[in-house]
Amino acid sequence: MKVSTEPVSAADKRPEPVIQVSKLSKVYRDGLIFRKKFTALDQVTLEVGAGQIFGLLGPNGAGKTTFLKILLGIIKKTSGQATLLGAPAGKVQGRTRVGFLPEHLRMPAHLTGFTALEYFGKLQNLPHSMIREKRDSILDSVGLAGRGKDRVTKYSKGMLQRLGLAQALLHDPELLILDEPTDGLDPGARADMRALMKNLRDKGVTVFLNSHLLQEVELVCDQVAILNKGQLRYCGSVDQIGDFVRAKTGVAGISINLEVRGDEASVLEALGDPMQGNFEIRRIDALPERVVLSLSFAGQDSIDQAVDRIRQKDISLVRLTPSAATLEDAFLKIVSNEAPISNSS
Amino acid sequence: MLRPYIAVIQDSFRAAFSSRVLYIVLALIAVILLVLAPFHSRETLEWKFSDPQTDFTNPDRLAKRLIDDGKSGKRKSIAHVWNQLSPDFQEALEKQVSEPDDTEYRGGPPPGFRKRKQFSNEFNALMEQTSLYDEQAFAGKRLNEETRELIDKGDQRSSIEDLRLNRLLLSTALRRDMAMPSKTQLDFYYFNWQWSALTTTQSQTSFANEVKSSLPTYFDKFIMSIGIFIAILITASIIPEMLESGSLNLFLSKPVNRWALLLAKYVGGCVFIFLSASLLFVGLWFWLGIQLSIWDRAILISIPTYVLVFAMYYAVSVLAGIWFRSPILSITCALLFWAACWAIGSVNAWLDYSHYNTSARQLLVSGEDVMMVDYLQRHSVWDAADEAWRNPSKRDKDERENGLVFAAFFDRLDQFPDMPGPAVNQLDQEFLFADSSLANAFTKQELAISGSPTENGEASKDRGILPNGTIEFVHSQTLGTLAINDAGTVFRQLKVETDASDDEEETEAESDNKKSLASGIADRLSGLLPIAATTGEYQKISATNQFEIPNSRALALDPKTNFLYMYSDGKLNALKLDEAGNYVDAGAVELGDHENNSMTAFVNCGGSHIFVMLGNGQFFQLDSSNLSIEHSINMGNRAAIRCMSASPDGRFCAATFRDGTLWIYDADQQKTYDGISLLGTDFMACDFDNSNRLWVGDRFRSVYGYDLESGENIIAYEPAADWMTNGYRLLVRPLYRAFPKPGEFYKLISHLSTSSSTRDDLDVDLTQLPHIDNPWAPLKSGIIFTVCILAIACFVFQRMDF
Repeated sequence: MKVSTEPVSAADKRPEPVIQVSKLSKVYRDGLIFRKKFTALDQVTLEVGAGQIFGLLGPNGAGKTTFLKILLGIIKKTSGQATLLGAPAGKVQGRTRVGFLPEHLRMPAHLTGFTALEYFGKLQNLPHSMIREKRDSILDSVGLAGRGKDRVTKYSKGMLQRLGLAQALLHDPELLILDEPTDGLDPGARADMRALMKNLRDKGVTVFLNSHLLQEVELVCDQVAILNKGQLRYCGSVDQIGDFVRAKTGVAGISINLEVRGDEASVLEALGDPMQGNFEIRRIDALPERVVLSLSFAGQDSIDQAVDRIRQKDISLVRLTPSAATLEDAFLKIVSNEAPISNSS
Repeated sequence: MLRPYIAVIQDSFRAAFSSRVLYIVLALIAVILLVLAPFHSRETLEWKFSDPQTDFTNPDRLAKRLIDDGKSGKRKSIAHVWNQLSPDFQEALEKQVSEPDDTEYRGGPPPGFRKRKQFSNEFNALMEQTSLYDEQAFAGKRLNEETRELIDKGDQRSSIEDLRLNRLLLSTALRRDMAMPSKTQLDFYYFNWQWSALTTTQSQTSFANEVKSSLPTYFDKFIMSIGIFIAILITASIIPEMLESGSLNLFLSKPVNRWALLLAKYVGGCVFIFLSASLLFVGLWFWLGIQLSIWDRAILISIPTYVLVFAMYYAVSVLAGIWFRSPILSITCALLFWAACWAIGSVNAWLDYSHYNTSARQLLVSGEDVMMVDYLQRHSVWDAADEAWRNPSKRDKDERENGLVFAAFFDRLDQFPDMPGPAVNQLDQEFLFADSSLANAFTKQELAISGSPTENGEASKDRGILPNGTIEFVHSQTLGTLAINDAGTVFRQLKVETDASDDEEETEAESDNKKSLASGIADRLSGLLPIAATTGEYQKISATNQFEIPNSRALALDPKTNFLYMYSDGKLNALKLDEAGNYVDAGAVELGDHENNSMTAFVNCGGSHIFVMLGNGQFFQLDSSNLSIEHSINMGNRAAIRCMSASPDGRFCAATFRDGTLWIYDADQQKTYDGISLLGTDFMACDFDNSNRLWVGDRFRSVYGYDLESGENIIAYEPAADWMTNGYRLLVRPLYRAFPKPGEFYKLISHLSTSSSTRDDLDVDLTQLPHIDNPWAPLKSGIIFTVCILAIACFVFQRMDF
């Protein structure tokens, strides 16, 4: 089963997508004589509209970085179409208006904060005077005020990421591409990074976030696409992801977390056959004399019935908390489903 | 538009300045310069006896003279010197003379050494302690100009001039036993410590010239080799570091062209090395200039040359860096490249040398029979039946080639003196050739002549021994074999063999022979039977020591008139036979605008013309009837001449040059003849046959005959090539030409540092200069190679997925 070949509009109100990809494929070949093929991207089609934070999710090896590299011209596509800010992917015109923070950023050791901005700014074809004018404020905005003269070798990983972000923002890009930007950062730095992304979005900059950190994507992204094994599994808003999963899996829409005294077997006996009860059950945690279960139901009636059955068996309810379908749930469901899933948004 | 790429170059410097590497390199260069800086030379007037072994050739004779002429007061000047000597030394000398030391030498310093040392010490002390000048004592002596000038200075003489005057006076008084000192000497110092072992009596100028001539090679072989290796080590990591994914992705995401980014990185490395090299070379240039007074532009020329050589290796390193992304493998590839260049260069040089040795130095054609002389001075005749060259020598191979050891002393075989001959004996239909070893050719002693019948298969015959000192022999149908020595003395081979020695002194028997010969010659010249003597002793038939013939090809016989033309000291001299059968002066003409009195010359007669080409590239066409210059040309290519020949009808003259070119001159049109396309390249030698056809020999022992009127090749003698020759022609030589030659840039530096004024100087004999074969070839092949490798690197970098 193939991913839909129709373009997926993640920002249907915007006439000109910032990123437009159609049937994009990339096949790597390895070896000299007997060349092994490996499909990193398979017929991916999507669009990213302007002025939003777009998250590209996927497990390791899903093809996320390959996707970015094709957009930026770092690698060549095997087939399909890709445009970046209206220019064919890889062309200089597109890259002029893009800021990019790569994964595992390394800066040449001889650079300081200022000289790094100067160097990468000039690579972006910015005049020296402009770089000097902007460098203090840009370092300030990423939280590196007063560290411009320090060697990058003295920077922590978080500071290095901030500097990478600063060089990406120096030329006021229309599109900011961030490849795992919070990888390895402490929680405070992650929060700062998220705040910065939201701030940029508010200023009209489109942010393309490549991440395998679901919580991060859930917290900041407007739109999300999920890649698995080179195939696009979902593309749509974060809010609608529960509906999507429900529609595709037929699984209940209301979830609760149930903590009870007793063992799991007695609770399951009380609840009866999940198929007949029209619910889904999953153990989250097992503690001494207590068990935490996640239950998904079609509606409120089913919840009431389930609670009644448990109480009839004299099982004590410790805690009952509602839980909406999280991105993590959806992600796990989508990537664990072998068959590709067409998005419906 | 170029801003991003300039930023990359700038960053190379930033990287260099922030790394330890630069400081290590700078410190290394600074240490080298600081160590060298105190070493300097001073040119001083020579006064001291510093080398007793050469200063006093015969100490016993000197002692005897001091006593015989000095003590006795027989010669005032020597007596004056004797009187100044210390009493102890006088006593020692008297003892030495009265009781000669005849005892056997039993270890320790040799007696002669001790005596010389004593003289040296005594005279040096004497010169420092006193003024030797005494008007009375030196009144009768012929003083040279310098001595007179110093005497005239009187009290104004500096202390060193006082010492110099003493030395001059000493040498004047005892001139038979000690040589006059050279004007100046060069002393070498490290700070103020004199390095006396290096003191040389050379003048500053000649020392500088000597250093300059060898500097390019030393620079190339030592400083540049080590410098290139260090530079490769320093720069090998630049590209692999750039290709680390965390930084490469950031680079490639910028709006820059990949290939230009790579080139900018490459240029950045080269500029960095350029600045480091400039520091070292300019430092050395200043040191040599200021401290040793050798201002040699070769050092400055070495800077761009060094950078170019580095650029070649660095291009390989960059390509390997892109491919393998490893500094170690980059260095390995650069070293493998060096090894490949060295291997190809060495194999080519070896094969080139062996083929050069066996290639034609001279050709001699009679009808369609060809004799070839190769660069090992071996003679071969073409055997049409076997289609191979045959050795006509009567001597066995060992005897023939035992003189090859001499060739070993001559790195350049073309500088080895030409063996006399060969010549055609038309009457007996044979090639006459000097059939001796190279040792005989070198010493010009006992050179035997053999006659090889042009009819194949017949054995050569003995044709006598040339007079000692012969540099060339020619054969006249009427006079037989004539031998000429380097003083221009002509000898004629007598028909009758005698036991008389070939001493130049005329004996009674020789005188009688000559008389009978004279009448014979008169008869022959009036059309009677020729007597072409090819055996027997030689008889002198000209005045002695009339000229100094610079080389064996500087003379020619006009076969029609039997006039001999010899080039000597800027003049072409004509000699004619007088009625007595002696060659006598028949006029001379000044040729060439040069002051060099030993200029190499090639003289040929053809028709009514004489053709002369000089070693400086000047060519003359003369009318043989009155020795007037009909036309002259200054050869534009300024390559040294190898060989020249004129057609018997005088229409054409052809010459081959050391750059492998052949030049044909049309005497009727008085311009270069280009109505012929020649087979092959690398023309070595040429000759015309009696039908005015041109024969040309190439590097691979092939000989081609051309009809110049029709412009067609009519004959080709191509010996079957062995595997080595085929390997050289088809594989090694093309590969070598296409391959870069990083180890040969000294040729270019030598070429460029030899001032153009030297090269255009008509006093310079090009045949005496070391031949630099195509000095621009390393530059051309280097640039082409670098561009190709960079193009491949850019292509790979452009196409590669990262």
